[in-house]
Amino acid sequence: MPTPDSRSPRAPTFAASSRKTGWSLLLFTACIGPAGATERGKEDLASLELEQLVELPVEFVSGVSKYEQSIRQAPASVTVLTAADIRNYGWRTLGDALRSAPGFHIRTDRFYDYIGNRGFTRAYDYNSRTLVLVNGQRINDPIYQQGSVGTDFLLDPDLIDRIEIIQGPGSSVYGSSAFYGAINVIPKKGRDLSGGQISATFDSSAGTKGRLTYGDRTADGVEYLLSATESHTPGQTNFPLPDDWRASTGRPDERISTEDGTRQRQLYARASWRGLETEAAYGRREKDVPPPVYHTLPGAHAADTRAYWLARASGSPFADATLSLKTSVDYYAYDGTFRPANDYDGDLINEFHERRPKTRSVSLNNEVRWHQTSAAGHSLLLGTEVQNNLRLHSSNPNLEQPAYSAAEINTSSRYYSPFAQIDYQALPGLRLSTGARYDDYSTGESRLTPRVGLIWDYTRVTTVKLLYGESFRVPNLEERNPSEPRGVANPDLGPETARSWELACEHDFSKYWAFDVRLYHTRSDGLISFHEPAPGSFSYQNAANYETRGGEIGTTTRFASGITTRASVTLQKTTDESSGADVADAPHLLGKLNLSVPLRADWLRASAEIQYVGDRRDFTAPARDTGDYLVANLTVRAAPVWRHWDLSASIYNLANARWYDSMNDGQIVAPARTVVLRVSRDF
Amino acid sequence: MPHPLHALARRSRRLLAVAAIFCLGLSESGLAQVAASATAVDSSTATAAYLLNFLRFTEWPPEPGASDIAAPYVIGVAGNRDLLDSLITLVEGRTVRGHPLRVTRIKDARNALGCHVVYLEGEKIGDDYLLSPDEVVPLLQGRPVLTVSNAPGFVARGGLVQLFREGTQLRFAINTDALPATGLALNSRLLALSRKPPAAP
Repeated sequence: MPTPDSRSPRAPTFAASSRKTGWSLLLFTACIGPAGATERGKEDLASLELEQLVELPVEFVSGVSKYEQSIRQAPASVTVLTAADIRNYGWRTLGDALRSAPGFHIRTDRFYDYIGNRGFTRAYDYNSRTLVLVNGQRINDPIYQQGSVGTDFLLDPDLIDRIEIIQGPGSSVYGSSAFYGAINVIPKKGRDLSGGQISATFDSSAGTKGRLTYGDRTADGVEYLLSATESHTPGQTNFPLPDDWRASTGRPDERISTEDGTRQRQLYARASWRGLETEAAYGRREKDVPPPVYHTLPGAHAADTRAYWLARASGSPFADATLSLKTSVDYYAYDGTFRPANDYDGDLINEFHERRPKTRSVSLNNEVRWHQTSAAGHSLLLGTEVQNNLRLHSSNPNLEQPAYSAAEINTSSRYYSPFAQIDYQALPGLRLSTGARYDDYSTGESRLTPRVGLIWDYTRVTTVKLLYGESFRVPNLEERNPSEPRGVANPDLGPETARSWELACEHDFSKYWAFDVRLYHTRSDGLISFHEPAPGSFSYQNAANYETRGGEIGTTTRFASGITTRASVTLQKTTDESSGADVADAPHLLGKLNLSVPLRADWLRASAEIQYVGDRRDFTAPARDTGDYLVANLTVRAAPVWRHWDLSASIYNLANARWYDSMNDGQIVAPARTVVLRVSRDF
Repeated sequence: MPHPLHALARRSRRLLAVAAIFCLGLSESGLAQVAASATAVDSSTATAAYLLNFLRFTEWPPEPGASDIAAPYVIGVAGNRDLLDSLITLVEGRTVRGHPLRVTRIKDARNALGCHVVYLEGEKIGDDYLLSPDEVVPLLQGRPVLTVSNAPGFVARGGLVQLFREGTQLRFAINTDALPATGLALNSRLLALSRKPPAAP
């Protein structure tokens, strides 16, 4: 695939987004029943006479029954990771957690982390094809549609209660960007803290991170949580610069880069009372950008800032029904400073002009949702989401040759999206889930995306799901209006689409051992691609059609001894229809093993993960191999010790394996062995 | 310990509880039939209902100098996030003798000093930290704090109320020997329902 010659600092990603709130929550709690009924039930149980209470039959099952069944009833393949997993395995970012999930491979260029979800990643795709949500709130921004999972993700991983990874198309609920999947991050609540927590982290590159969190729930029922995080990490200060960087910059003698530092500041607050909830998050990450990323001179850096505020209200106007309203304001800012090797004035020139790409967006999102359930197990969801992207700004000035600056873009857009889902309990154990969403964009696109799932769960030991779903992604601002003087807007550029079939089977061999098999086929049409018919001009076109076939098996065990394991093997193949050849960065084989063993009954635990990513090719033409890799990470955690302390030590890339990841343009060496120590104390 | 399945298990119990409550709610024929119905609630929901009832049927000695009659009753929970959730749902908007109810997670024996009722989970669940009865009970000796636990032998270890499984029911045993020193007055209805705890293993 061709790449922009000017190595435009932070070229593509996307514009215009949609959003859906709390939907996956709804998926998972679909059978929890209406709030109205819950209220009545709660009333009854609380007013039960003591004499009746002692006679009440109690279900003592503490195993894996109902909630998993509700996950099983969801019309998608779902993996759930918890706060305990995050601490036990020492995951530093959301991307670290995804690395352990079936079917994912994550590559990093030390600027951003890129999600390979069921098959492949694409050059200049900043995770626009996987939707990232916090509590149902869309994180993919309206400019690049970037779903951050690296250090630029706005929430400290220590504040995560649960990560729900939903694979397969999700546009029928979430709209654009839920192209190959969605990741919903559920933060902790005040009750999880019931007090304060202070935490410090030190890493072997002399990086430090500090966090202060306080949360509780008052007698009036007000629940709140406040948290602040700050971190400074030098990163790897001795990694080798690749030959192609030395060639393109004309600096053959520079061999080592020291540009890998990260500075982060994150604030998070939430409060709730009865059916009212408000939440605010702010995250700013400044990153020293390693020279290979855009073939820039040393000294490049960029800042990503994301923030949102939201308010939610929900209640039960009628029995068996829940009405939810949500409003939110989102802010996104990106500021870069680069001196890319190449610029263009009719011919490629090597003048290292300073470029200052800058983007801003402010969006307002409103959503209303009605959820109705019936005693027979049917459920109906109706909703509408409206998003106004009030301000979309993009500029990429060339400070030294203003004539080579990109045209500044100031625009706005909006979309309107009604959606519905009906879950019909056809027979005991047989559920038909049908849903669709219609997205209407002010930029001209409109799309109806359906999803149908047939879920057989009669025995409650074996679940079989047959799923069909469609998804789409609208072009982003960069693809519509390339921020390069030689970029040509393509008025015919439309949404890219995908259709996906999946057959999934989950089986519990015992309460300690669960097993699943998934087979999937995805056809992606009109994938938005960089097109450069001749030097001097380029545009984006709906050019590539891909076909993905894959299968995976996974198993989880949880023994009474406290030993837990999770393992999966994925085989997949993605081919480009036009050439019949495999696409870039698409490993055929992925293997994951997570193993956690208690060393001392209740306070000391060792957790190891081993990940294998098969052979890949990079995005250059002609493509070069990036090879395969095997990486192991080890974390030993002591908690609780001395009453309030939680201590852990992690070694990432235990064997100091050396491998390369694809970048937009070339390859970059993956991070070497790193040691991290964490200390936290409750007060 | 922590595992995705554990999160599922946690949800599972809550879901089961709500499903059960839902069915209870549908029962038009009155509460008397609830006990007779085959519908079971999960153990954290049942435990939450017990804790609320223990609070209702217990009187605390007046605190010297305390004038604020609306000071909240505090229920502290250690080691069971499901119970915390169930309890919060159950006490939402409710008062006992005019006192609002506050539910809090406790991670330290000293946190128990500020509580009226303290529940200590006896079984390791997921990532929750357990507080040992041997750490908490001596600290609360002679203080007006109602200690409740499902830990085996809790009453024998000086705790006040032990919850235990008897067939398909959840039952309780009261340590009447230790009560007088605490100044707590337990209603006779509560005492009448107290059973003999199973022998500690």
